[in-house]
Amino acid sequence: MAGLTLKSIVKRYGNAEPTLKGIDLDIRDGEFLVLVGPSGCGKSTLLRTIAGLESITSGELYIGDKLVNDVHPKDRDIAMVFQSYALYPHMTIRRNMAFGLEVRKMPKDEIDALVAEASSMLGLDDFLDKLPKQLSGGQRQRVAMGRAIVRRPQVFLFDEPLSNLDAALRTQMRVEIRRLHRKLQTTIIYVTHDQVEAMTLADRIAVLSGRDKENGTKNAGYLQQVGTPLELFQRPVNKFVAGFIGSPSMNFLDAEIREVNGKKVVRVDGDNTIELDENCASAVTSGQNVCLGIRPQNVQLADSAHPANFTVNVDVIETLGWESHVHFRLGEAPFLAVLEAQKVAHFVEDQKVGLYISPSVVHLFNNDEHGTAIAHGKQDEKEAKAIIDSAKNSEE
Amino acid sequence: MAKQEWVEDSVGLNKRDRWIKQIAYNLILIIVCIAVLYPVIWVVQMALTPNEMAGLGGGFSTDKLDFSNFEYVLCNPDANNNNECRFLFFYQLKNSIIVSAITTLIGVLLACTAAYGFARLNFAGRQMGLQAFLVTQMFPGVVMMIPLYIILGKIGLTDNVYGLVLVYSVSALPFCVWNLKGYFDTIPKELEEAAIVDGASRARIFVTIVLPLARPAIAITALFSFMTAWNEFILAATFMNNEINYTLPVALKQYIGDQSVQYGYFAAGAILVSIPIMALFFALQKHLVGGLTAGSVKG
Repeated sequence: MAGLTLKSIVKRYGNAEPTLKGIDLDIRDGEFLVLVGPSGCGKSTLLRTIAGLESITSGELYIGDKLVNDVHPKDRDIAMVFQSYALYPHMTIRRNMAFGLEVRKMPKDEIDALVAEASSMLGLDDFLDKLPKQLSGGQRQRVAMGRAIVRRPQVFLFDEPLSNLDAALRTQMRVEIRRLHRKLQTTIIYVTHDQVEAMTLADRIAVLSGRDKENGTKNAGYLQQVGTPLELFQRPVNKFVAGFIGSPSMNFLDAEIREVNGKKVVRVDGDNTIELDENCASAVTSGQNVCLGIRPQNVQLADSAHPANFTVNVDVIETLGWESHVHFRLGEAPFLAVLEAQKVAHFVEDQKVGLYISPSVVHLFNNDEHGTAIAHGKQDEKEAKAIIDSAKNSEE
Repeated sequence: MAKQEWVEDSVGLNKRDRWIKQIAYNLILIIVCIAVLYPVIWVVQMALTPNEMAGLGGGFSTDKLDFSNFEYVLCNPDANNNNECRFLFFYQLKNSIIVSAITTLIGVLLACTAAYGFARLNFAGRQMGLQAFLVTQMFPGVVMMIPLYIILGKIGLTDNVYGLVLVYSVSALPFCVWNLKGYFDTIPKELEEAAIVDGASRARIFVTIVLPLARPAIAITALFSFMTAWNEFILAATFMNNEINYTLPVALKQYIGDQSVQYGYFAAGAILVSIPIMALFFALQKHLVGGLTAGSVKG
C-alpha cells in the first residue's frame, strides 16, 4: 500500500490547451479518493497519467516516496479497472485474472491460490472456465476487478467502472466496491462523473472543473476542491463545486446584502429576504451584490413556526414517490425545491406559495466569473448528512 | 374465441408467407449457383472427355468417364523419348508450393508486424509510409516487369523460384499491410492498455493478445498472398525459362498453342491446379469468423 503525491501535474496534447493545468493532490495511504467532474474535465486523463498510460508534460508524480514520472506502468505497482472492462476475449476468466501474474512469472500454484481467493471474494467461482462473452455486464466488471485484486497492487485505479451497468446493478456494485476497499485497505483512486457515486464511495472527493459554454476548455482541468463528501456539500469553495455536488443542483439567485433593523439580510427580487446568521453576516457588507445559493432540499413550506421569507409561484411539479421536485418561479428566475409529496399535492400552476429558508442553509458566493464562496450558513452536520443520504437514495 | 381464430389465422398466414419467401430465395440461389457453377462443370466435363474429342462445343454428356487427360498432365510424356513420363507436373507443383508458401509466410510475417506498427505506434513518416504503400498499388505488376527482370538478373535470381518469391512477397505486402492494419485498428486499445498495466511487454501483447484476436484477418491475408502467388502468370512466364522451373499457371499455358488448343489437357491441368487452393480455403475457413473480440469491451 502507498499514498500518492501529485505536484503541479500538467498534461498537454500537442499545442492544444492543457487538459490538466497544474494538479496538486495528496492521496493518503489506504484512502478511497474519488475524482469527479463533468465530461471533458480531464479526470480520466489524470487517472491514465497516474497509471503511466499517458506521459506527464510537467510536474511530479510520487507513488509512496518514489518519483514515477518516467517509470513504466508495469513497474508502478498499480492495477486499473477500465470503464469498458477490457477483458481479454479469447482467454477464460481464470486466465484473464491470472495473466498479470503469469507475466510476472509467479509460480503456478501461487497464481491458482490468488485467483481462487479473488474469485471467491467476488463470487466468480462458477465462471472461471467461461469466456468473457458468456458473462453478463456485472459479472464482467467483477472479473475486471478480480484481475486487479489478484495483483495485490499498492494502488487501485478505477476509471468509471460502473457507467456501463444499469441502475440496480450499479448500486449493488457500489456496495461491493466499498466492501472490497474495507477488506483490502488499499489506496483507491476512482474516477466518475456521477456525483452520487462519488458521495457514496469516497473518503475524500476531488472535484475537477470542466469546459463551459462561454470559455470552452479555458477553465477545464483545474482541481477545484478536495474534501470529504460532507465538506464539499456544506462548504463548497465556489459555485462550480456547489452546483456539481448535490442532487438536484443548488439554486443560484442574484441577490443583494441589506441592513434591516441593524441586522444583515440577503434580499432577492423585491421583498424576499433571509436574515443572515453570524457566519454569513460577518463576511459581507451592506449593499454588496452576491450570488445566493440554496439547496433544493433545504427549502421548507412556511408554517406558523416558520413564517414565509420567500414568496414564489408554482411552475411544474415532478412527483417521485415520497418526495416531489417542485419547480417554482421567483420573479423570472427558476427555483427548485424538494418537498414532501403529500404537502404539495394540492398545488396548482401559478399558485403563490410562501417558503421558509433557514439562515443556516444559506451559501453566499461572489457574483463574478469565478463565483468564489464568501460564506456558508452554520448548517447542522446531521441535517446535511441526512440530505446527502436522501439524495443518494433518490438517485437509486 | 374470435380472438383465438384470429391468432391462428394470422399465424397460418405468416407461415405461408415464410414458405413463399423461402422458396423464392432458394430459386434465386439455385439460378445463381447454376450460373456460377456452369463453367466449372464445363471444365470438369472437358477434363473427363478424351483430349481429341474435348472442345468448346461440349455439353454435359459424359457417357464414358475418361481420365486419360489427367494421366497425360501428370505424366507429361516426352515425345522425343518414346513418350516416357517426365513427371514435370510434380516439379512444377513443388515450385508453385514453394513459391506460394514462402510468399505467404514472408507476407504474413512482415505484414503483421508492419501493420501493427502502423496501427499502434506513432513514428516519423508513419502517414507517408502508409500512403507510399497505397501508391505502389496504383501500378499493375507488368509495369515493373522490365526493372524487376534486370534486378533479378543482377542478383542472379532469374529462372529461380526464390526470385519469384522475392517479387511476389514485395508486391503482395502493401495490400497485406493495409488489410491487417484495418483489422488491428478495430481491436480495442483498452485491451492492450490493460495488458500494459498487467505488466506485459509490447512483444508479448502482440503475440498473446493481438495476434489471436486478428486470426480472421491473418487467415484472409494468408489466403490472399497464397492465391496471388499461386495464380500469377505473367511475371512467372517472363522470369522462368526452364520447363522444370515453371510454376503451374505457366505450365498450363503450354496446352494453349498458337495453332491448336488442347482443351482436355488444359481442363485436367486446371482442375489439378485448383485443388490445393480449395484445400487451403477449407483449412482456413474455420478461422474466417467474426466476433472474436465479443465480450472484451462494452460496445
